[in-house]
Amino acid sequence: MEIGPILRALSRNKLGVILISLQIAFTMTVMVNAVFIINERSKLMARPSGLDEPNTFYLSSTGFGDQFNSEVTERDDLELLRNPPGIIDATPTNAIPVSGSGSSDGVRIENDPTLPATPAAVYFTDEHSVNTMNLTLIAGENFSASDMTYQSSNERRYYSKAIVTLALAEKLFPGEGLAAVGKSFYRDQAPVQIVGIVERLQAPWPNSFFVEQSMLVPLNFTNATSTYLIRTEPGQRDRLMVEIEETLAGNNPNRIIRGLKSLQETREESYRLDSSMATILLVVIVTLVFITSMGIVGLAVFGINRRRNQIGTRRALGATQLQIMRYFMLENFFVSGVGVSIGAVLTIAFSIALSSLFEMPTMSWYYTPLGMLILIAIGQLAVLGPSARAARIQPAIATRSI
Amino acid sequence: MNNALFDVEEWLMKEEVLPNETKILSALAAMLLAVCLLNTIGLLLSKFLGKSGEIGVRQALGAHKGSLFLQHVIEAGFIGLLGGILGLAIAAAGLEGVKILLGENLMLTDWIHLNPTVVAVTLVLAVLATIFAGFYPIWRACSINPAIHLKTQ
Repeated sequence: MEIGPILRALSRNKLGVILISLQIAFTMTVMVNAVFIINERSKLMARPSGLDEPNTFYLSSTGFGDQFNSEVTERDDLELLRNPPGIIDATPTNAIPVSGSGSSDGVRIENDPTLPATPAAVYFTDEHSVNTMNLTLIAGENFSASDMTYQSSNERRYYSKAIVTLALAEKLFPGEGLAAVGKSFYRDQAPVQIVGIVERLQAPWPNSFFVEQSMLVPLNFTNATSTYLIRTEPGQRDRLMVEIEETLAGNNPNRIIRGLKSLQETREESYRLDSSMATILLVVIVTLVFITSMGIVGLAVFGINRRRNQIGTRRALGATQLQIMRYFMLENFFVSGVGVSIGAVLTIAFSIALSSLFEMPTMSWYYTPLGMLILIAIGQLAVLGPSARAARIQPAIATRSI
Repeated sequence: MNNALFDVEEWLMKEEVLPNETKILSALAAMLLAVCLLNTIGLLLSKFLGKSGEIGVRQALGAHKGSLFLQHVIEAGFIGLLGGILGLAIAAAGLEGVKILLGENLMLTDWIHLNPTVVAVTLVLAVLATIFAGFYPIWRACSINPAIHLKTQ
């Protein structure tokens, strides 16, 4: 192997080596950290809301005029909504999961307003919500029709029963898990009994710190606006979205139907910033890798052109094409090695800075070595063409130029 | 200070509205610039060293070192300016892409455009950064002994 000659030749061109290895180092820092950020975003985006998202949609109805009776309308609407073939269930709700808009309450296990409260998202809905939202009731039982209470949203809210998520139960009664069923917590100084626990239901705010803490409450508002969440059988959603909108609009002339949307659309909108960020970072990575590999190609071609005579001489003295190629591949390997070593330090430093400044989780250990390997591979690929060309230099060049 | 009035920009600062995404992207952009400058140093080095014959002739004919230096600073600055203009064109295309990514959210897309400040900062930064990257290559090219180059020609 020609390790000695390679290192001695490189030490003659220190600046070139420094330039390229610094480029590789910066490229690695950006690439590894950007890939980490992309992965974190997709992890956030992949969290399930608990609902049967592909088969769920929602719409709102707002009544107007003296003729409009919201309680009657809502009762009629729900009957209409639950009957058509293809629909699994429908429920009234004040908020849509993942949508970014909803209500929350502060709850405590002691009836003492001076104690810190645990925040929880509240879905004001009815006994059909568990089925409509496709939730898994893991303890206790669902509401019954007789649990339902009706209130104007202008009044002070009052409710005495709730189905909570396991995460909320664990937060309120640490370590008790499913045994929290039947226990009570306080909100607004009134007791609320936990009648059931569901496995998972996200709060409406994907970026909230209490995204897994939510509860269902059997309370409906008697306002002119009602929002209905509807779950269909697989493949029926798009057909039913059109049909249901028409049915409801035709059923009552004293209202307008608004905000017809599938839950998938809502998810895309809510996570749009995250998915755009991922795409932008991907473009940055591709650009950087391209620039750096062009730099590597440039340095290699420059080095080869300067050494055409030496290469010819070596070939004339019996070096095979493979040996010439190996020389330049090895040379690149050493330069890349220096680059990724500096890059490893920079990558870890940048990642520590990110996690301390922006409350991001710390990077797993394998990102850095993986990034080193990938950049060495990219370097070898970039130098493959130039070194193959170097290997084709005719031995005759040695004698011709003398 | 409870009843202080803020204009929009002050309020944005006070409430720390700037999302983390923007800060992270700025840090990554700075590193992207660093990579490009390292590349530029390499390219200018081979470009100017390739001209050492011409520089030797000019020096032999009595050109002042300062004027040679200035000539190459202008050359580097011009390359930077061209790069900046090209970059702005690519950025304008990229912004259209970002608009597509963000969808029809009018609140956001109305704010996404190149304004005169961005254009000016880009051009000035491009020119200054390229000249900065050019200092070492220019110095190397201008400090060649002209006699050696003239002899080999």
